[in-house]
Parts: sequence; structure tokens; C-alpha cells
Amino acid sequence: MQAIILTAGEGARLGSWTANRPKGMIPLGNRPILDYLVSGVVKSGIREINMVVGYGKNSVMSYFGDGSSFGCEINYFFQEELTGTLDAMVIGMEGIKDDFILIPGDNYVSTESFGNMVNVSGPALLSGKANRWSKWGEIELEKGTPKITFDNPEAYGRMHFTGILKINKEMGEQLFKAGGHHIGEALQKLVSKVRFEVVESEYWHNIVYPWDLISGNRLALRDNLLYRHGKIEKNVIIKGDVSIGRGTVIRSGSYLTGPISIGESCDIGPNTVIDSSVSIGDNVMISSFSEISDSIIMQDCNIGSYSSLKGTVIGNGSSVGSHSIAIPITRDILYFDETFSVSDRGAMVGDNCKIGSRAILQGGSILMNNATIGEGEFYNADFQGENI
Amino acid sequence: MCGIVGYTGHKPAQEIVIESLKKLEYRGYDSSGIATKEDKIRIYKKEGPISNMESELPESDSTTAIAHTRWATHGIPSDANAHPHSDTGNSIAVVHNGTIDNYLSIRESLESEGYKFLSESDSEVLPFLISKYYSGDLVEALNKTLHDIQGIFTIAVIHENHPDEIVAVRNETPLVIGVGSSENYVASDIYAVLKYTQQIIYPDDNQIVRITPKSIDVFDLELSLIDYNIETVEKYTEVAEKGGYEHFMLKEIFEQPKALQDSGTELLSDSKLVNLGLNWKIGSMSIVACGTSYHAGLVGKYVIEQLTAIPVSVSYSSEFRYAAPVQGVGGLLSSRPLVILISQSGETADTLAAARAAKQQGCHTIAICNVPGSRITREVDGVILTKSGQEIGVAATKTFMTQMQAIYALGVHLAFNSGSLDHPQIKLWESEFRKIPSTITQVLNHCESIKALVPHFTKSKSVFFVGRNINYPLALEGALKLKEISYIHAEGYPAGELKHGPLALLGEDTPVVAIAVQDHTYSKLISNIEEMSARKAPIITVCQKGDQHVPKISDYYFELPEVDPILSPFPIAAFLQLLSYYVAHDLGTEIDKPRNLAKSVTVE
Repeated sequence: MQAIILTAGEGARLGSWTANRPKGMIPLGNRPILDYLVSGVVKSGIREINMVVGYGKNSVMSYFGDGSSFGCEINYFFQEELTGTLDAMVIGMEGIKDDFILIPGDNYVSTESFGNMVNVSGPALLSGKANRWSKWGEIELEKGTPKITFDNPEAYGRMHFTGILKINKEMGEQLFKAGGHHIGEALQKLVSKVRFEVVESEYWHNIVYPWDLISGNRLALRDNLLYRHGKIEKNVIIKGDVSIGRGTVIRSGSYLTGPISIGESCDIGPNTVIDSSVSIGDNVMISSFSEISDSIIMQDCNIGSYSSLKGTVIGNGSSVGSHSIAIPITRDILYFDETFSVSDRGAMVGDNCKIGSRAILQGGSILMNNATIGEGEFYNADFQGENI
Repeated sequence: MCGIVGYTGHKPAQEIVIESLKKLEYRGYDSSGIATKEDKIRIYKKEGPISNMESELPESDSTTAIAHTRWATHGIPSDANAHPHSDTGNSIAVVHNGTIDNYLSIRESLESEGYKFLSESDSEVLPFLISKYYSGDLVEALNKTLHDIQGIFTIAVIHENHPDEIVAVRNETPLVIGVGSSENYVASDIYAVLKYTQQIIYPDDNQIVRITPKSIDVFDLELSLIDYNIETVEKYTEVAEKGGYEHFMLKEIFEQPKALQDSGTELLSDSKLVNLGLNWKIGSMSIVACGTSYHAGLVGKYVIEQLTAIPVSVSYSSEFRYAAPVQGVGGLLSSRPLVILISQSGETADTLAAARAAKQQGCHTIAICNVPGSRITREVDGVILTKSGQEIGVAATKTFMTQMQAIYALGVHLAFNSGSLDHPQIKLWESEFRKIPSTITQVLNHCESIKALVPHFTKSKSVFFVGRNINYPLALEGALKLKEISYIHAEGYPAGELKHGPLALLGEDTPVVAIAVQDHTYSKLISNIEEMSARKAPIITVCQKGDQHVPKISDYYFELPEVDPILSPFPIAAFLQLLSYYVAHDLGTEIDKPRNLAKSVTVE
């Protein structure tokens, strides 16, 4: 059994966070989404992975190398023109011998799913409970036979196709011949001819919009890799699953409630509170008396003292002045000409942004790369920065 | 200057030694060969890279083999000069790394005794001598041979009468023993055997080692058995595969942010530098290295002098060794001078010799090295290990970055010790250090715009690289990278020096790469660029973000990410590496294995 992971696409709707990398390389729980997929695939016993790369391919190849540090062999295939998932699949089918699992690389699914699919003898679809309409289509079971539909927009809580399926080489060719905009549409045509078994993923998150990063991060921290290096000073309280990387210092009086993942060479505290579901990348400094919860702080960031960040994403290399706050609210925001209702999200800040001291970022506000917010400013717009 | 491996155990040896030998190809790839024990000793050797030999290799079920990959010193690369060498009756096979200095006189006397030589190689005297002295014990025969020869060498021998025995010895060149279960290995370095075992013995000079599948014996020159230590080395998870990249060099360029992150974490934590004990008042410093490491050392000179006001002299290892002591240690007045030796492999013969010379003169020696357990780390007073991971491409990239990082950290540490930097400034430096990996990432993300510069270079016969102050060494490094992989002649110069000579060479077909950062030399550099531009040379500049002036006087320019001028060598190095890579790629040269070169040079 082999696997094909498709990660050539740009993920434009994620804006700033995919400026130089494909969606699958965004860190959630301090690891790229692709890392969870590759680890899950390897755990199921598959040792050969074909990865189709394109947009931001160097970030993928540098991270995974030849796969040996993940216990598998990874071969790379290049999709130069981004003409869709079906074309990508055909490119990745080179060297595929028989059965394979096809995985679009922007899905977060429970790692056991792949093992469950391997255990099914014939072709299989992976389903998951959707929190909103998914482009891959809804799965309806008719006397045990799955049907894929695209017409029901009220999808909350229903069973959807995750885009992940197990087929063999011959069916891959049929799928490509069936055509359509993507795998879901092609499968809709094929599903009446082939008997697929439906395997359910315990949880599933399709990362499409910036506010998906926060919920993705919450899920990803379920698979928090536990490690404890660095230096933890006296009178630091640590509860739950907290990972701390090499060279990191947690200073006295800090209070950490897991799950939390902290990278290498960070400097945190003294007297800093980090609440559950927080991922902190490498080289992050968080000064004293700040409180962070339910957030992703990517690498090389600097967070000033007395700051309060909740439900917030801070991109690589950004700095936040002291006494700045980002507090979640529920509201409608305009994004790519569509209105979305977001709740419990703070600010979503891109790479290399500078946020002055005493700035207030209203919940749901989005800052694109390299944006600057002045001292004491109140910011509540949906977009800012060079990209839009 | 070659690579050696040997295996004896219970598995088919041929596959294992060929696999291991490939890990040593960085030590030379002019020719290669293998000896196995069939009914008799069978030797198979071929000019060219290992793949040439491998493709024609007959099957073998021998469980003992030795193999060799060569970098020619005595005799041209050819089938005959390739190792292993044998004696007249083909009873013996010998592989040799190093040089036998007195081989001519030995050869003459052997020839007068009637021995017929088949090659021009100095190594061929070894099988004849060993076979002449052989009377049933291979260790004894090798020992007698050692009395006759002078030079530097690692030798491994197999004999038809001892089907599962390999005897090896070293003098100044590397040799490691890998300890397995019911199988043992000899090799030039640990990378060759790490796939199979992490238990390593490092024999000393002139200790003769005999391995069989079940035993390892180490003898001194009196042939009495001596004790040895088995060390467990850290496993390298990175394996030498290209992982999707077209060349190792490109892969290694893109690994730089990670290499810097790993090395930086190591440097900043656990007071690594404090433990070096550099707490006396250092009066003078020398930095000694070869090639790219030398350029890292030159950058170090500017940084350390600026931060600490300690005078720093930088020397090529091959020159330092023979220099008068006054020059070598940077001044007679200084007490206990500090000598920093930089060698990626830790096996560079020139640098090792310089380390010994420095110690002899009473200097305190510190090595900056990328290979744990390597020779130099065993000979100096203190070691700073960089964590770049194995570098396969012959042109150094990621190790240059981490060497610079180590020197910067050392400079900051010395500045703090001497009182020129105080605590808040140290904090500031540390946070600047942390930003370096992401600065590099930002340059790498713009690789397409660097690729677009390639057409301005590919048709030129000659290219000049210029810079001033801390970026003068980068001009040298840029020129070195370009010439070693693209074979285009390139020279690095201080920007102010062109007018004293090389300006005569400039014209429409000699592009100039000018490094222009906004430090105290900026205004002078601008006028230097104008001078070159007036001679119609195409000007390609690297400038800082937001520079209004330089783009106007350049034909093409590349904008660096936001960076302080003193840290600009890091992103600039990444730019220069990518530029050289893409030029060489366009010209279709052998990027990972440039002609006539080898990764670590263990001859002087």
C-alpha cells in the first residue's frame, strides 16, 4: 500500500499565512498539518509516500527531506501549473503499484483514520462531521451504498467526504477519466459503479479560512507530542500536556495550563499566564504579566508585557507592544467579498506585523503581512496590509 | 586524501561496503575499487565515480571486503592507479588514504629485488612490503612495514589466508572502527558506518587494529594488546538523500534556517561558551582556516575587532603553520594568545597541522567544527560544535552560516567578558541572533528573483565581487562559490581596491556584483560603484531594504530583508550561494562534485 499526498495548491483564501508556503505547512500545535498526515500514514504501516508539490515546494521538501526521519520514503513530484486535484493525483500516481490512499494535504483528520482505511479490504472513503459546507460533497448512505451530493448548503453536523480515499491504480485512472473540478466531483460519478466502504474519521477539520487556524490548532493539540527540554525556573506551575523545546526558558511565577506546545529558544515570563490550546513557535519572547489563551504565536515573535491575546493568530516575526489586547467577540466579517460570521476569534495577524503599545485589536479583525498598527490605536477592519 | 571502508561479518559484504563508500564520496571521486575474498582475493576497480565501478561489479557472496574511493595525489586518475592495490601473486589487497613520502626509494629497492610495479601510485609499495614481510601473521607484517614507510596514511589490508580478517592502521589521517554484533567495520569517518552502528572506536596514531566478525584487537608498535574505549555517537537522522531537490547543494542551502536554529539553540543554552573558560585578558587572537571556513574567519575578524577591540589576525592554515611565531600568534606582547581553528570536517590536514603548531607555541586553541568526535576536536583545548548536519555538496553552504554564527556568538561572549558589552546589549544581541534563521528564510523565498539574474553571468569569462568592511569577506566567498561550481573565473576584492589594478579588466562582459549595505562605508562604496559603472561593467548590487540610492546606480539589484548591517553577511551569503548555484545549474556543471575537488582535504 502506498499513499499520495497532494500539497501543490496555494490556499489563497488563507491570505497572509500562505505567502511563502502551501496550506499544509502552516504550523498547528507547532507542527505543519502535513506532519500529522505523514505521521498518521506511517502509523498505519504505509512506508512509501508520493508527495505532489508545487506552490512553496521548498518549504515542504526542506521539512520532510527524503522521509527517513519520519520512518518512510518520500518521493516528490512537481505540479508546475496548478490545474486542480485530479491532475495532481495523476502526477502523483507515477510509481504507484496497486492500492493507495489519496490525501489532499489541507485536511486535519485523526491519525487513526489511515489505519482504519488500510484495514478495509476494498476501496474506501473517509468521512467526517463537517462544521460547514465542504467542497468535497456530502455523503448520503442509501442502503449502505454511499452517494455524494453537493446541493445541501445547510451542512452543519452532517457527514461529508473528507477528500481522502483508498483506491487502486485502475480506479485512479477511472477517476481521472470521470473528470470534474476536483476529486469530489469525479467521485460522484464513479461512486455508483464501485462499492466503497465509508470509514469515519473521529474528527476532521478542513483548513480554508484564517479563522480555521484557531479551531485547527485546538484539534492539533490533541496530538501534542510531549517533550520537556529547556529550563523551568522555580515557582512555575505547569498543568496538563505542555511541551517545551530545547533552549527555552520559562521564568518564575508563570502559570501554564495544557495543552500547550512551546518551541525552541523561547523566553517566557516571569509571571506570564498561558492558558490551554496555545502553540508557540521557535524564538518567541513573551514578557511578564501577559496572558495568552487559545492562540497560535508563530516563530520569532515578540509579545510585550501586560498583553492579553485570546483566540488570536500572530504570524512569523511579528511584534506586539506592551498593554495590547486582542479579545474575541462574535461578529460578521467581510472576507473575499463574502460575509462570514465568526465567533470566539481574536485578531488574525500576518507575518512581520508591528503592533504598537496599548493597541486594541477587535475580535475577528484580520491584518495582512507587514502591517503596522500605531501606538494606542483601535483596529477593527477586516483587512489591512500590502496584499489586499 | 581518499575514503576507506571495510566490513567483516556474516552478511554479503559487497553491498554494505559499496553503500558505505558512497557516504565517503565527498573525500574524492576520481576512481574507486573493492576487494573481496572469493576463492582468492578478487579486486575490482574503475576510474570515475563509484557508480562506474558499481555498474560492472560481478556478484559476490564474500562476507569480508574493503573498498576505496580516490582523490588523486600520486598518479593520474586511472584504472591502474585506483585502489585496492595488490602484490604479484594477488594474495593481498591494500587500500590507502594519505601519502607515502619515501615511496620512491622503497620502490627502487623493491624493483631491484625483482618486484614488478603496475601503477604510478605511491600506495603500491604497501602490498609488496606487507607481502614481503608476511610469514603467517598479518599484524606482524603490517607492523614491519610501518618501520619502513614515512608519511601520513590510513591503511586497511585483507589477505587470502585470513578470510575474515581486516587489519588497519592510521597515522594522522582518520580511521574509525564501527562495532556491530558479529560484524565489525573500519572506515574513514563515522558517517560511513552510522547506518549500521553507533558504537565507535577511535584508534590513535600507529595503533594496529585487527577486526574479525567476533573480535577487535588493538596493538601498539611493540605488538602488545592495548585497551580501547567504545563510544556511542549520536545518530544522525538526516540521511544523504536529496529529498526532492535536484542537487545536495540546493537542499543544503534550503536547510540553512534549520541549521542556524539548531546551532543557535545549542550555543545560547547550557552556557556552552562560558564552559570554554576564556576568562583571562586576551591580548591577541588568530583565526586559522582554509577555503570557505577562512572566509567565515575573516568575517569573524571584523565582528570581534568591532565588539572587543582585541586585534585579530586571520591566516590560511597552510600558511600559519610555517609562519614565524610572531605572526602566527598575533604579537609577542600578548599573554596566552587565543587561536581559533575552523574546519567543517575536523580532519583538514592543513588546519590540524596549524592546531599543533599553535599548541606548540603555547597558544590556547579553540576549534569550530561540524563533526563530533573528529580529529581536531580531540587535539584542541576547547570545541564549539556547529549543528549543521552532514553536508554532502562539496561547495560549503550551511556550514559557512553556522561557522559565522559561532564566531559572532564567540565575539559577543568575549565582548561581555572584557566589559565592552553590558547586560542589556547582550539581551539585544541574543534577540538579534534569534532572527537570523527567519532572515535567511526570507531570502530563500525570493529565489526566483535571484534566478532571474543568471543570464547576466553565464556568458561572461570573468566576474568581480566587491564589498567593504564586514562584507569584503563575503565578496571573496561569493567569488569562491561561483568559480568552484560554475568554473567561471571570479575574483573577490575590497571595493576600494579595484582602482589600484583590476579596474583595467572591467568592461561590458565582466559583470560586477557589489555588496552595498548602509554602514559607515556606504558613501565610499557608492562612489566605487560609480567608478565601475563608468567602465561599462554591468553592475548587480545587493542592497538593504528601502535603499533609495543604490538601485538607481545599478543595472540590476536584489533587496535584502530588513537586517542590521553587522548581521548582513548572513542573508548576503544566502543570496550569493543561490546566485552561484543557479549560474552553475544553467551551465550544466557537476554542482555537487566539482572537477578536481573533494569535500575535506586530508593532505597538506
